[in-house]
Amino acid sequence: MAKGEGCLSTRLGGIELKNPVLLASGTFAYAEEISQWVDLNRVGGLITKTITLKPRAGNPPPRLAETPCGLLNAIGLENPGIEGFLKSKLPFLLRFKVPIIVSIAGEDKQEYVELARKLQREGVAGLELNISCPNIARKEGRMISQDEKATYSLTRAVRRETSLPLVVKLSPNVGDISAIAKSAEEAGADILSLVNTFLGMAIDIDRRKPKLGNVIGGLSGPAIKPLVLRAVYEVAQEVKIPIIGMGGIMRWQDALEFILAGASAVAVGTANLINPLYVVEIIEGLKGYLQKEGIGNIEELRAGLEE
Amino acid sequence: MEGRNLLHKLRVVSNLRVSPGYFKMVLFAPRIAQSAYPGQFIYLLVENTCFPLLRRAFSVHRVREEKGEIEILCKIRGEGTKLLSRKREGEEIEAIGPLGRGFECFSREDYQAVVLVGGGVGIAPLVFLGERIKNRKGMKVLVLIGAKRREEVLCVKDFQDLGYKVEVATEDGSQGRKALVSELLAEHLANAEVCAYNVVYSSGPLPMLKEVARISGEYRLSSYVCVEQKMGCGIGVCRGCAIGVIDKQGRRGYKRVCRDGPVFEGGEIDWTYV
Repeated sequence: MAKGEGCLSTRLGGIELKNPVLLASGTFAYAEEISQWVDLNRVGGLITKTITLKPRAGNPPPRLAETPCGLLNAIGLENPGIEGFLKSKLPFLLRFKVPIIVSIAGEDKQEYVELARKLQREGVAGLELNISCPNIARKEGRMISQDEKATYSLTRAVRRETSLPLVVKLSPNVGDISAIAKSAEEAGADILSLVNTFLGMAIDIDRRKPKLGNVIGGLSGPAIKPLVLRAVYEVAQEVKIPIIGMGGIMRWQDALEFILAGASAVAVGTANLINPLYVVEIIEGLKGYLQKEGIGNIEELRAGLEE
Repeated sequence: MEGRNLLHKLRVVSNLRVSPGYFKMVLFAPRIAQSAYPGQFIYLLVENTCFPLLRRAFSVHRVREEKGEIEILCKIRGEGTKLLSRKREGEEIEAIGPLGRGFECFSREDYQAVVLVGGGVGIAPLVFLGERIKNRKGMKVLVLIGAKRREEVLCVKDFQDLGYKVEVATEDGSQGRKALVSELLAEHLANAEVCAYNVVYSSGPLPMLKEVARISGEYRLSSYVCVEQKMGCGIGVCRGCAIGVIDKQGRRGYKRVCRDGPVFEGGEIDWTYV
């Protein structure tokens, strides 16, 4: 029988996790506010809001629109830039005894490499390459993660620069996500994050205008969960590296679905905005389930769909 | 973990329609009643399901400290507010609050001649403010209420009961003057003797607040505006409720309505895109 929290411990591409429930990038900022709600030492790990080389002000408002069971956002990577992060955000994050994965985005390959170099330091447990943000201007109108070659080339370049575990966050806005996932794996990614938000739109019919200042945004929340589960299920069969699954996880049952589909860990995102304590309920729920079922470790359930 | 002290289960004491499409909900909320100040809001989880997904924000409209009750004044706008309008006495609603920076300056003793300008349901927090400044010595308060039409003119009696002079403007002329409430403000300030007022507190739609801030600025009056913006987390994390601001050096940026606001100095907001 599983006892304590040991039943939830797992390894994720070189990162030791006490449990497989992480906080997703962009949904808890840099922990300052949310740490007043949740004991962050309880969570499996933290993936920071994306950092860019230069500070970014973000997109013009309105930045949010709610849709049935979903949330459209077009925040636009508002962040203090790498120098501001290292000076004023990272020291606070390092108070917590959990792996800190820093999400980064550059305007080109060189910027990603430079960010990786600046983050090769004590306390950073890994890097997440955000190559799938739907809310920033892109060269030729495409995200890096919409192109196999670009994904390979970028991942390769950062891989050469850093010895830190490398997470690559993929976009669902592609025809064949497994092909992109394989490119990242071949280029040296240690872990995949599946997925960033789905491109979407909402319109105010009274004003006959888009609800978002940026017109188009990224959809998250329970509305996308079945779509992401499919992606995790398929990609898990195509790659050997572990997957962090995310998309609409509100309760422990949702997290378990992702693990059964093949994810090694999950990330809770939109739910943090509704109640910062949900993540603790999810961890407790998973533990309770393992104990009730007499399962020694959560890894036994990974890709554990019955025939 | 002080955040957790802001999480409550609130019992509905009453929920009544005040005019077509508007309702007033009384909630038993002793801790909020004790700690909230005007301009702060509470963030209600409409249902414990994923629809509606996000919480809904409401300014604290009135506080009855002795009973441990607070009131919110709501307009039915979509599914979330429609479901809230159907809550019955005795039902519980999960809430976070009080949140945000309200009219922090309301207790300033030197603000003795005050204009309150409210538009539509945005008037809600100004009643709470009006109650809190009521017994101040030598206080003079003028209340200007604006709405599209008669049915949307709210809280006139609340302010009259406080002993304040109230004037109403409607866009269609169905009650009070046929004018914008900002036009009433401009007339009052133009006709007033020098320094007749020293501060304008306002709450309502952004275009109205823009005018109020501009007119107040012309008369070199301090103005404080309570703005509304679609919010995500309500606690300053997600950066979803950004509003453009401009600092004294003319530098533009964004602030968070939920945490840095919802009350801002009128001159602080970048009104260019409103």
